[in-house]
Amino acid sequence: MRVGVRYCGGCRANYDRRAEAARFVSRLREEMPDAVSEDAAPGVHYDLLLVVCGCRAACPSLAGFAYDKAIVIVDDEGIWRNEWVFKNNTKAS
Amino acid sequence: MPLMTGEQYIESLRKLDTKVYIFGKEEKNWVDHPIIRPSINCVAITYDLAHDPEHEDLMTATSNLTGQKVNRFTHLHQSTEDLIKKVKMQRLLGRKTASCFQRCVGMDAFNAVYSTTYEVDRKYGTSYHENFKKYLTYVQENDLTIDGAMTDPKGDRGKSQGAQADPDLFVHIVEKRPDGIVVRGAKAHQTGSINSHEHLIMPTQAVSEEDKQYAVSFAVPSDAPGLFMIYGRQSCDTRKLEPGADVDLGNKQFGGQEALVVFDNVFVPNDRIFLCEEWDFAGMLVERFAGYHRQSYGGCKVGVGDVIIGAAALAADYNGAQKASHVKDKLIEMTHLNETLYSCGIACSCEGHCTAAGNYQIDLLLANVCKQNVTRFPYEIVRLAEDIAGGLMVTMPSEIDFKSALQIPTESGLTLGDWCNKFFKGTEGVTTENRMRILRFLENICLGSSAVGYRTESMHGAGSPQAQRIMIARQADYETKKQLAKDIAGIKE
Repeated sequence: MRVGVRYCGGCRANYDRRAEAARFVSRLREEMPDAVSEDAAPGVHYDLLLVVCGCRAACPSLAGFAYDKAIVIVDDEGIWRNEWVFKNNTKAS
Repeated sequence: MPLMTGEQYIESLRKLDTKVYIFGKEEKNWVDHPIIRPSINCVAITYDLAHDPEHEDLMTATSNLTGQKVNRFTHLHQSTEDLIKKVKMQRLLGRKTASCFQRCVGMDAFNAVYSTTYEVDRKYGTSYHENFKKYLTYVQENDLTIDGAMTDPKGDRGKSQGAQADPDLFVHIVEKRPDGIVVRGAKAHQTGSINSHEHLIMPTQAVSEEDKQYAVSFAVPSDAPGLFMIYGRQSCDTRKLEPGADVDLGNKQFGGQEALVVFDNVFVPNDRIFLCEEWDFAGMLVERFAGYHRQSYGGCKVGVGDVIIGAAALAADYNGAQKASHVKDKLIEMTHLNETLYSCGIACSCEGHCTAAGNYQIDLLLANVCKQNVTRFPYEIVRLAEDIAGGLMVTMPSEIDFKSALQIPTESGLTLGDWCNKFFKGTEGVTTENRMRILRFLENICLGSSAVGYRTESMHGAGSPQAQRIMIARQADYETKKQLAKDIAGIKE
């Protein structure tokens, strides 16, 4: 499983986004040992795009990024566990 | 060339033959001058963060001219989202530097000149827009820093450009040649000008037909023959010359910069001219640049404000006053003021619109309201910061005294450093040095060299308060509002 990590610009992030992304991937590997993560690059296809945002505005552009599924992290309190899912670059309710 | 790194940017400055004067002499190695270097470090971080995956979403954009990834500071805004991201980028950089990072003037000038030249060409059949697109493509491909220069010295404010005793008090055309023009004059208070690769010149105010030689916009390299700069000194700037200075500087790494940029008969080739005597467009160019720049302050000053609020809260912690209700309330007030500025910056971006040229312009009324607030709120924020910090901010001994091993010939036999550390200790668990550091930071931002950027620049940068009030009056639309009142009140006339 190829995981790309895409960050928002971090204008007023109030937690360590990189550390939180690493924590997420670490947990993911418990379920999917083959998961490999990297900083996301446009044009590369990812099975999962991890969108790590400093706040719930969740404003990073995903234009040019290819992925099957995206999960958005907006804080370091586990908000990623359920809602905040992007699918095909469309924010789900 | 791809996006430069901060180090590549600094090295690129060394390759220029920029003429810089400071303290009465020409400074050849201005890149490493201790007074100037912090401002260069500030610009350098705008390059470094563009390479950082944690910030590139704000720091970069896709060029509409080349389709390539460019630093946002060289970008033409293509949507309201771009306008919003500009403000967010500025807040980010203010938080990282607690200083003016100087690159906004160029970005704001690009967007104003781009849309204005399009409309000039449409009326006069000139080719300024093509000139400018070619120029901006060069800027983007080389990731340059540009001084967007507007403010002339202006001399007697009661007289127009042409009525001044000295015609050079406004930049003007002195000669038109087949291959270009020769210009003369100066631009004052130029933020980041020495640290810029090029200068993009605009008129400072509207121009009448009889003064049309003052309606000129062009770009020249910083080392163009006849161009030189005189560094503007800042409060407490010579502290940076003290050997080993660190704590007493408040902000050792970063700072802002302004200079007087003089044009002593500088030649401008035809393809670098963007306005040449089309006097009826000078006002449009000024209004658009000022609008963008008034939006900018709703981002950059907010980021600096975040650091000041944090410093004030730390000072309260170190003083043991953090639980006092009035201290908590003052921090709330500072936050309220700071976020109000941010709200204005975001609002004027959300309400932006597309220009005839295709790039996006902010909402002019909201941008002027934003800057009008910036002329006031930072002053209240630093007043509250000084209140929380206490008088020690301006009365404590130097760091040399705190570190001194000089034995004082009294009964205790303690050193000078011992005495300083004994009496300036705050709460348990906090070193005297850390307490001193946060107080020196606040001193620097409230009344030291960084006060140039946070206080007086907030007042006069992007136009003094009255300039915004004039624009607010023009945009206020009182007639519509009168009609609203008539409708509600049942007045039929």
